[in-house]
Amino acid sequence: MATKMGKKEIIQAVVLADDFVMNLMPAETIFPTILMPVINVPLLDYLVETLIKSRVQELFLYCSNHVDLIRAYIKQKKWLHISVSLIVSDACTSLGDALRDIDTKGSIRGNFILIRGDAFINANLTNLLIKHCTKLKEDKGAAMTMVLRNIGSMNGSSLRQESCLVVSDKSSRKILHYNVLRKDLNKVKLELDWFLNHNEIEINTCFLDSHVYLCSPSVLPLFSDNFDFQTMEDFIRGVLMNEEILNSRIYWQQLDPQDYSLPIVSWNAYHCLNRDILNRHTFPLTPNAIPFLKDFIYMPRSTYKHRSATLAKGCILEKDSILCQNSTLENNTLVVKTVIGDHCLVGSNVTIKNSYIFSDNKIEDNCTIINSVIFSNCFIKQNTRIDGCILCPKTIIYTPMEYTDSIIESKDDKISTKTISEIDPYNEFHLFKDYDILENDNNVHTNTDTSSIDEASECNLPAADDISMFLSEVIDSLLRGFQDQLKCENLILEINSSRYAYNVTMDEVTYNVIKAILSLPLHYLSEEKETITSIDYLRNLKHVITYFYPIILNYVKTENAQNDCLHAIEEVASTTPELLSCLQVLLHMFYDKDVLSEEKILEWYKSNDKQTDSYEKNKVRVAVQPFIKWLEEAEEDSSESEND
Amino acid sequence: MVNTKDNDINQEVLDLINDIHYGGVKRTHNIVVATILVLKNIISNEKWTTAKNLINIIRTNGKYLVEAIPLEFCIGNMVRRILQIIREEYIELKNNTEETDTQESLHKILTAEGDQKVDFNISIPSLKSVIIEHINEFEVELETCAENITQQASEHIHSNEIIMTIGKSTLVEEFFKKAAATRAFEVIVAEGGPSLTGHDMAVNLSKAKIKTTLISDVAIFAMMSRVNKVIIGTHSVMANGGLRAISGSHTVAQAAKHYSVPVMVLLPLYKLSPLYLYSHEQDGFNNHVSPLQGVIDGANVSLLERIHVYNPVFDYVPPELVTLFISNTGGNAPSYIYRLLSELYHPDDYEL
Repeated sequence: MATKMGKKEIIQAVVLADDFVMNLMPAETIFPTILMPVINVPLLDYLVETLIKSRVQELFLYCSNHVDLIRAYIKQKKWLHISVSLIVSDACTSLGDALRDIDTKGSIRGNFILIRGDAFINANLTNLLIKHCTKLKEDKGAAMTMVLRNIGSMNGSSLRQESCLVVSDKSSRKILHYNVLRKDLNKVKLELDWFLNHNEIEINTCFLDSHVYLCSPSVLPLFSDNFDFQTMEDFIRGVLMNEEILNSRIYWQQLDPQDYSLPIVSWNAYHCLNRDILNRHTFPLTPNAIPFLKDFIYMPRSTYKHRSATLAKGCILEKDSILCQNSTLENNTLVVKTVIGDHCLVGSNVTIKNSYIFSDNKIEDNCTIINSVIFSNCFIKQNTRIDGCILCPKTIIYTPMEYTDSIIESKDDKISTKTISEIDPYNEFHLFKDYDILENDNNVHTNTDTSSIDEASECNLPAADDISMFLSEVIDSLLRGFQDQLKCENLILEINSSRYAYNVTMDEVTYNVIKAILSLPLHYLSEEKETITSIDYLRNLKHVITYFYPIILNYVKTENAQNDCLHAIEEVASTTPELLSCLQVLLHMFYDKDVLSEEKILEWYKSNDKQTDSYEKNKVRVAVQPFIKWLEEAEEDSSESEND
Repeated sequence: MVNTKDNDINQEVLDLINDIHYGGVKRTHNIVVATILVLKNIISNEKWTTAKNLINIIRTNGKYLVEAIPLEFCIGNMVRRILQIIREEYIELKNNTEETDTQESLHKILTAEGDQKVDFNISIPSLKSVIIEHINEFEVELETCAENITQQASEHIHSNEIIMTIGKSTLVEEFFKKAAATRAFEVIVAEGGPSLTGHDMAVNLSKAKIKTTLISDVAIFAMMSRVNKVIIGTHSVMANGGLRAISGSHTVAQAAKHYSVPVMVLLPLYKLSPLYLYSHEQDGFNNHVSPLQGVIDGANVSLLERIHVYNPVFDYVPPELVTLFISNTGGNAPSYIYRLLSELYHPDDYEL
């Protein structure tokens, strides 16, 4: 256990009031991260609640900015079961500095719990610390245990940017590699040593760092000895690199599946945390389960209303929303996924979505507020539209107009706006922009689609190369097969093997095979050094198609494959004028040989119809018009005859 | 954490709130005992001169306690019970001094003119000792409460019967064990998801050599046709005889109704509450815990972001689905609950 001083073991925790990063701009300039209101209550309260529940008796709160605010807050609260002492330092600018400072103070006596100021956790920390201590008995060099939460695949979730790569030894859970996966990072380098030196290793991207670290006493001297350790990432990297020299190792342990933790590393994470609290994932740190959030009426779809809050006629709290003490909504106001703090006055016909309205705000009639954060004591005149903005405290908006993507501040009765994209050119600062896309499922799909396209265009350029390589490979095989009169079954085998070699999907195989077959006469003719005319092309094409009929049938089986086939035809036809002229003959041939069904052709023709803006495609449409007409007439005939 | 503004609240009350909140005191029975102890200490330690004075002190502290821990109805019950004891003792002492007919008779109850106002302002020196004595008696009653209920086990469970229960209740467990001492019967335990407390229950029963079958909650209806009796515990009982019991109880009671199987509820009288359920949104009726505790896997964040998941701890079982309450004073039908209530609590205290 922690320390064996005196009669009782005292468990100590260190909380850093600031996280020394500016992810929650401009909140850091207003209060320290630890006092950031989460559902109307500072983050510190939740942390202290968890610490008391875990029977932690001593808490050191390290603060460097906004010391007065913290001091006042601690004085106002008087926690009975935990002694809170402040460590104040003005000069500190990083986590490393803070820990070095704590080391010189010498108040930490044994193993301790280190909590960064943006952490939110509901697990029993003492149990975690006990596990760390047993680890320490096995390995004297265990410096730190990270607490990670398994949240599953982060794809398609708003926490995408926070995912990290954890490589560890499977049996001992010793960390071999840890880094945060940046958005632009598409490749991960895995060291060969990991695989050589360990029986089993575990590589994970589903973990989220809880920003709670269980530390041995050796952590503080490690920071003191290495002045280049600034952030926790530095420390982890440094320790992992010089494991032998420092004789220190870092382990990790997983939070129990029912426990919850999420550090507020960005506005996006803040948004997730608030939502999860309202959805009660964080129980017991939820409304009505903790003393500082009580007297709420819990209504369906995770909406809460304080007993003293007032909803006028026609108000809708749609979902994931909370209305705190003494707040009032006037007639027909719509609130979706929003936290409204204490003593707020919201006028009638106001729409508020995905927003955070802190305490003592006044919003007049007919306003619309979307994806915004409004700090306390703001005033918004009627008919204002705010989208993706952050309003600093005491902002007063008199002129009703539209504000988007800005940080709005009012000084001496003047409003100054800064565009967020200007302040943050790297777009690292997200104000739930992505989240908006997650609003409904249709949009989610488009979102994932675009991201996959992005990937394809940015990083998977080699993949595009693969496909063209595959195409040329297929053309080569077919050409050789046609010239040497090889068996079609063998050619299919050959195509399939190159499919695996270039890792091409089935749709693309169909598409490319058809493309190859159609362009084959051109290659054949150019090899025979004959001039290419449409008549020659058609003659050769007929030969080719009759010869490769088994191959075509093999690949064009399903309806999807028919679509791919038609797209391939369209693609080739729009680039080779020879095919264009005999396109209807080709379609007729495919139709007769049952490669393409009548419905599919008509469907394709109609879908093509809409894209009249493209000249090329228009050409294709004109070229097949007579055939389509014939098809339609045939259909009518048949239906008529059926009627007869 | 307690706000320091509450100066007139007894320190012991504040400690009790913290103990219950941070898990120092668990289970209804322990909470009841701790509450009584705290209230008794208040009566003996605080300065008061008249009964009215005392009632006010108990009421302020009690109200604070109930508001701090709204989920535990039994705390409010105990506060009301203590208030009733104070009233009773005061009236008795007063009548004794005034030398009137103290005999309670049916005739007297019927002819009594409404609720005659009793003046609680007269100071009676011996009141304190009498009240403390009465509370001590009540504490003994609490101790023997569970035993009184389990002693009735052989009256309700017969040989070769098949009994169904849901989840884990210590009282029900003891009840079965008592019955198993004299006769053989079979118990079917529904596991009571998502907390799955039924698993523990099944293990404990089988250790006591009772033939036990554990079933999942979905099989409740299917198994009900062969069940002779349903015996369940409850968290508390509302004034109309409705139950606030572990989630899944309503399913069991409905299935029992369908097959006309009698439903018996073990009710120590301290769980009887003079409150009504008026809406399912009523605060302090249900406890919604984290859906990650058994309902859905937390390692699926992209799904969790898009759906709402609920995990209520309690079910409300309407009184018409309950056949019999087995309390420490005997068996009572739900329709008789009102009478028990008027015996236990004074109507003025229903609203604290």
